Amino acid sequence: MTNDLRATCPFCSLHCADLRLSIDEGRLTRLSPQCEFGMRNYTWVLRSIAVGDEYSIPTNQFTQALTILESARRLLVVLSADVPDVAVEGALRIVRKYHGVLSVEDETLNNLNISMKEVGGFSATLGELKEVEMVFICGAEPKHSHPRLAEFLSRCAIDNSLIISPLESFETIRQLRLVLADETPEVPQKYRKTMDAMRSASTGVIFVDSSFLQAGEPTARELLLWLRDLNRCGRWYGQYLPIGANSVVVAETLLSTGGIAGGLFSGEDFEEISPRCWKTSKLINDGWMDACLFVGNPSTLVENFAIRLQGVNTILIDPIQPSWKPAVWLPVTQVGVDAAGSMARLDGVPLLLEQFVESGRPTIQTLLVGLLEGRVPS
Amino acid sequence: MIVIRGGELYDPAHGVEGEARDLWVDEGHIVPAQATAGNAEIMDARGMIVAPAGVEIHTHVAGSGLNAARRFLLNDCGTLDALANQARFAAEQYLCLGYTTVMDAASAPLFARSTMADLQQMEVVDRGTYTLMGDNRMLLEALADDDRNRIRDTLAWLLEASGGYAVKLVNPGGGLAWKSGRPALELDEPIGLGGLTQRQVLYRVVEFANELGLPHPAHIHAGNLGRPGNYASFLETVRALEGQRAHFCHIQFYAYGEDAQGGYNSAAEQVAEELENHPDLTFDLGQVVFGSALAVSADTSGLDRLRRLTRQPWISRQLEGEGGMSALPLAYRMKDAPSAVQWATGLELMLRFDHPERLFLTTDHPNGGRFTAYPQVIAWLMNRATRQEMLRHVHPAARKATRLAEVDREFNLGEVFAMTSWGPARALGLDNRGHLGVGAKADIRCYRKQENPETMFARPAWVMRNGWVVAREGELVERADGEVLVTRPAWDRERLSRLHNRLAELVSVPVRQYALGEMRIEKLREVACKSTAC
Ligand SMILES: [Zn+2]
Repeated sequence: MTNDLRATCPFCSLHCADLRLSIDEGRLTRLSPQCEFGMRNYTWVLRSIAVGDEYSIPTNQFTQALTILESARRLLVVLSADVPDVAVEGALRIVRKYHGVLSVEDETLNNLNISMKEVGGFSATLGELKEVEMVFICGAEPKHSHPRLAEFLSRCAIDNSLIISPLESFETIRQLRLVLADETPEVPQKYRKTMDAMRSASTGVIFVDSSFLQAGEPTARELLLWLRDLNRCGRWYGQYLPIGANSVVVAETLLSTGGIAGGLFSGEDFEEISPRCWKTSKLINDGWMDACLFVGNPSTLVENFAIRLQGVNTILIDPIQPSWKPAVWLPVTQVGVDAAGSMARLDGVPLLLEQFVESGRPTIQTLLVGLLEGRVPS
Repeated sequence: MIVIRGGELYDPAHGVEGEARDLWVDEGHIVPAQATAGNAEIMDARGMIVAPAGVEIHTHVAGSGLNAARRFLLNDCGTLDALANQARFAAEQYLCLGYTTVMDAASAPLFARSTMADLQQMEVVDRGTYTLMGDNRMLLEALADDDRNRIRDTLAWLLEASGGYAVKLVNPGGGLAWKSGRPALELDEPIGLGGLTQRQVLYRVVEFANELGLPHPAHIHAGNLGRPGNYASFLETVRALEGQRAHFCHIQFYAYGEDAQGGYNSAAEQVAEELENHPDLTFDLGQVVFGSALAVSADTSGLDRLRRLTRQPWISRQLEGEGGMSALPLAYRMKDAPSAVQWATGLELMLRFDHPERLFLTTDHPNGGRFTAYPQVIAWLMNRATRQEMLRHVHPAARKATRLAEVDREFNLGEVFAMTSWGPARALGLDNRGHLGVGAKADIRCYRKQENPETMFARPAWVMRNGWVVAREGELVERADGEVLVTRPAWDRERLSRLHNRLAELVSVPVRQYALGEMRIEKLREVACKSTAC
């Protein structure tokens, strides 16, 4: 029997609110409007839900997770960027209880913060996108990470717009910036048309995605300097496109709760790491920890990190069954699929995502509280 | 039954100034004196000062603007805690200072759920928030069409949908104008929607807020915030209301003249004098205190100007159909001329205005600095020598560009309680707070008498809320039953579908999720409107 549902997508930071899903025996058969990214993620989540069976938390897995936490000497707790903000406090409490170190996986937020100390951030509303004269996309093609946005932008029929790949980024942006100040004597042929248009446009948006900001601080800073200069001649906005849905809000919640974001928070001082100096990826690469609690979907984590996580005692708390082998996988609900909850859109606006499947799986926060209290949540 | 025995009572609402009296409390309220104590609990307050608990009328401790602003303090946890603490802890800090009612000053409907999530954490105090409407496209359209019923219904619907306590106007229309490249809006300049001007928006919204009988009238953040020479336009804005009841916030930031070099000087005298002519207006100060601060405001054009001036980074978040919310880090330094003049101007303004029950103590936390500095500000107001000493240490511009040095007035305790309890409670329309009369809510603070007002006000001996002692010597006694104060004026619900239709055109959030959506407010308390019109 096919079930037709309306839903708000939890998987990218656009959180498209007008989706129609067709579900047949627990499998997604159709998603409209079409979106490969959404289709793939819905499929994974639904596949991880044992529909029809009465779900209960596997006691042996839960006990094993507790044993890992209790025997850990160097515990790293990683919050993925797409967890609901209510999970942040639970993660912080676990770090304190087990003297661990907490980090947010989405380090691009950290880069963004560093950059903002120079020139600031701007954001446009989704509605304003309809009115802009130019669009620059810095980083990966949004067709892959935010396909609905890409479709929307192409519908706006914006000419003269440019996708700048991370590889050529720094020099290109520097030239784009200098051309505003008439400081570039030689404009490369391939940018000439764009640059002319940019000089006369009075409104525009620059999208930045995480792959771009991963290029590091100089590039991010150059980008924001460019944005600042554009703002002197018109109304230009910068808009960060976090791939991990909700990541901006996770960072902000963490800031309001623990005073950190995109850096490290240590429940106990470890001599060799100072808070906010190290990156999660580096700690993982160096094999700093002997145990890891990974909260949320690690799909944005580079693949070889996952392999490294297999080498230590890793507890994964995630709605989706992983393709790699952590020591323990504790399934939890996915907000917007088998749980209701709040997530924020890329412009920060909070949306309520509804539940459309009953799975019996615990929410992230219930599970974290269970781990804190040392007993299987009922 | 509790008897608070023999305290020196201060109750400016009833003209009581330091008389030693018993105060009787039962079931969370102040009750008439009984013939015998019976088995009542006796709290010995002899030799101590007993006064109504503090009421905060304008602070920023909740919501998404503050969340964004926290990014600037990543490397400084101490400052983060002082300026942008988690809502729960900010509420606790307020309680330990003797405040039991705390009003967050600005929440955009689109972010109502973030603000409410923070408010729900502040359960140790009674609290509420004001709903931003000055750049609300739907309200502005109704105003431009001069459609009376639609104006009233839109206003009431926005309040209800957002869980707001009052209507907040921040440089109304300024966000709309800024987006079209016109940073400073004059009062009679069209904001960009037909011929509608800021003057009309102000006048009409204030009029409708009063017509709906809101307990707190429109709460106004005027245009030209922080600009040298802005006092003239501020006073023009004040006069534009033509005697209607309203509240103007952080007016220190509007009491500036301009010197020949374009710098600040104090216009406190002119402002104080003019405000005498407007008995139906109330104000809060927005005093500057030295140290770090954070600008957090819906006044995009004001903050845009500020960040150009300070060359600070900023975050500016624009909202669909609602203006925006911006933030940037600030610092007020003693040896910095503008900071010193702003500091002195605030004190001068407070001291030159004779009605502390109409001009309330705030720092517009965290814009003018942290609210935990209130005891320090009180000490400056109460003690001429203390502020003279300070004047000698700050940049000499404070002495040249203000006349603070000449002001002899010293606040007495009654005036301090008028500007921190009775005045703000009355302005908020919270009739049973801010005083110690029979029937009042038993929200009371008690201080051990001390020579130094700063140390005295920094730590009440105890604080009572609803008849329970909730803080003692700066330590909290856990009792988390505070209420969220909202108002829900009557409106024509037949209009809802038409409002929703327009909303769906303006905002890409699903209509049923707009503002609070179906979010339930725990411990909600509806404060009644006193409407005369509907
Ligand atoms: Zn304010």
